[in-house]
Amino acid sequence: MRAELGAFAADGVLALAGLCILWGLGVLGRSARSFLAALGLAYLTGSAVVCVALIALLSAGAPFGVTTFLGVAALCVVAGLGAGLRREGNARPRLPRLHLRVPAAPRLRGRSLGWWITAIFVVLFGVYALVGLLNALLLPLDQQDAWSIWTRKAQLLTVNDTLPSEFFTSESYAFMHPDYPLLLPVWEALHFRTAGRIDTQAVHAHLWLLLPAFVGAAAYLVRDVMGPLIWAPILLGVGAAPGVWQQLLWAFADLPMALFAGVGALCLGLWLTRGRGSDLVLSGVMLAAAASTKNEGLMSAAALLLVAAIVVLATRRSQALPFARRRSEALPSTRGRSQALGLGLTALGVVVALLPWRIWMAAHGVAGELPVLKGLDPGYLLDRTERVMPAVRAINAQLARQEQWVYLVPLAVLVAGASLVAGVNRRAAALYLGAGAIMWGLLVWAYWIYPLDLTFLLTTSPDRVITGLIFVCVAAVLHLTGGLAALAARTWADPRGR
Amino acid sequence: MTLLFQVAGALAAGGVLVALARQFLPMARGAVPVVVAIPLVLGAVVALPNLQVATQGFYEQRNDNRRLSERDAAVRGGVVGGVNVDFLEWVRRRLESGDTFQLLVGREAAHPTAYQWGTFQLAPHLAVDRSQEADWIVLYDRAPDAAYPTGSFDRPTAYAPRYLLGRRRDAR
Repeated sequence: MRAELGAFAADGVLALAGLCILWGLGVLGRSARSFLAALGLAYLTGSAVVCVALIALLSAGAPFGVTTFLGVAALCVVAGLGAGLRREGNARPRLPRLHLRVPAAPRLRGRSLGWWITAIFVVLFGVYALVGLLNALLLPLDQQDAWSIWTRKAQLLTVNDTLPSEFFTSESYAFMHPDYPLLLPVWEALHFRTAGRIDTQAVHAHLWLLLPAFVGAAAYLVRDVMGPLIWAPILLGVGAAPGVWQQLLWAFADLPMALFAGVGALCLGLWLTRGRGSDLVLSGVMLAAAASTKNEGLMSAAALLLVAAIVVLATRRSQALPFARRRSEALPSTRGRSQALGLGLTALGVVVALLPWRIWMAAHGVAGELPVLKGLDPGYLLDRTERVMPAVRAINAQLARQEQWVYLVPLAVLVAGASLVAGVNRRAAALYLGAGAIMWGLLVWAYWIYPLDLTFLLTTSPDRVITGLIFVCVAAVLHLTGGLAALAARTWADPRGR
Repeated sequence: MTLLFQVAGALAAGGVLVALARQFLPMARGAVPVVVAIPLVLGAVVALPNLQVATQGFYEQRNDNRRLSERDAAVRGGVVGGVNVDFLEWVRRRLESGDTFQLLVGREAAHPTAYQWGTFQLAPHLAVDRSQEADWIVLYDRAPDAAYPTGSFDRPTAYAPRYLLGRRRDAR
């Protein structure tokens, strides 16, 4: 019990670090309700920032342990509070004053429809999340990739204070993909260390927390642009999708990567729509975390940032381009320049976050498995064209498994198409459609060039590698449905369009 | 192909809804946004049964897993893969802190799973490629053959036929 409390205390520290970062970014209000509502986003933000920093420190040779973890978290707290105080222009440092009040017994009469929908959502999802958590605490670690790759590395990081190069470079461990990014092993290892033991059952419970955190984060991010009538059914559908909870409880890195990529995509889409700097910073943080969790996360980050750059540049250069037909979505050139600069800095931040581990790999002779340079060689590609169609069929077959993914891909195409036609959130719609298409293409390309036997790859991986794409679809459905609903409401209120 | 038809189906549903809205609702400015009804209705329709099924499944799974002892849970991954986890536990108890081992798996065994699980269950002891670097040699479903370095290792101790453990002679 004491061990479990220690590990859950680590979750609390991550959430606290995230809350302070969010406060520094100006994303939080000062009320206790605002802090509570932002807990999911804070947990994801804290996990992303702290783990990316810990990977950098580990790669630089710094000792990994509870002290380092607490030190990094404390830095996040100080930096967040400092940025928040400076943003608010306080001459003397003062902690944020929370308006804490003992909530009175809820009055049910006179509550709005939105309040009732939120309440029903909290009860339904809360029961599901709680029973799921209690189940996750007792799950044995029985999925091969979980113990063979991810938790094995976490175990090594729990008993070693530095990256054990003999482990990452040994032929004996070549099967566990030594080049894979380290965020999940580091995240699991800090839970093991705070628990004081390697508990391969309880680790599922901490992974499970990422799901309510994602749902809470998404609801919090869109709270200004849509009501609970819109986000509640969509997030309930996503949170209970069998493909989502099943894969999360496998304890692989794919779903955590997808959750980070999904929040990153949503933040980037919101930034294109409303231009808040905090959305852009958060998208950078989440995409860096996705790319530090799995190589498919790097693909997601690259695709999203590339398409966002195209959208920003296209809307800056010409108002006649399709993304900018609405005056509200066309950018004045100065704002376009600052957006391009901000996006460039975000992309640079993502690259910098990935560099330490890549440098450590290069310094220790750990080679990546994906032959990226060969994959750009037409001769190499032409020699392997027989791999393309089976890969396309396997990926599409997984995307079409609606008993797992609850129609997220068709719905994303529908709402993105409708947004483009209706002229609402066109830049975000272009982002989601373009990035989704590129991610799909990159997955096919990866199977095309990967050196391993294709039959083995296609029987073991397509269900997992598509999760990043699925969560970009989640971001699209949530964001664009909200925009369309707002337009529908305006049209309904003023049918003649006056 | 199925995916294409699913996307086409969603677009067709959106088209039907827009046509109905144009027919029956006073929407001169365009009825396209009414397609929001599709994700919202679909979300609600699939979410509630999925929530109920998943929650009940979690409850039942938890009841099943409560019967697992801590030790059984820790080696469940190996048991699922058909690995002789008792032998590996027997080996683990003999290894001392910092010892390395070479794991030699017989051809008859489910080679990748047995090897991978073996190196996981024996962690944090480090597996090595060559017997020269190993303090121990673990023979899993394999008889000591020409690959076993009799010169530098003791005669292996048997846990069971074909499940043996040999220690380096000069090991302390």
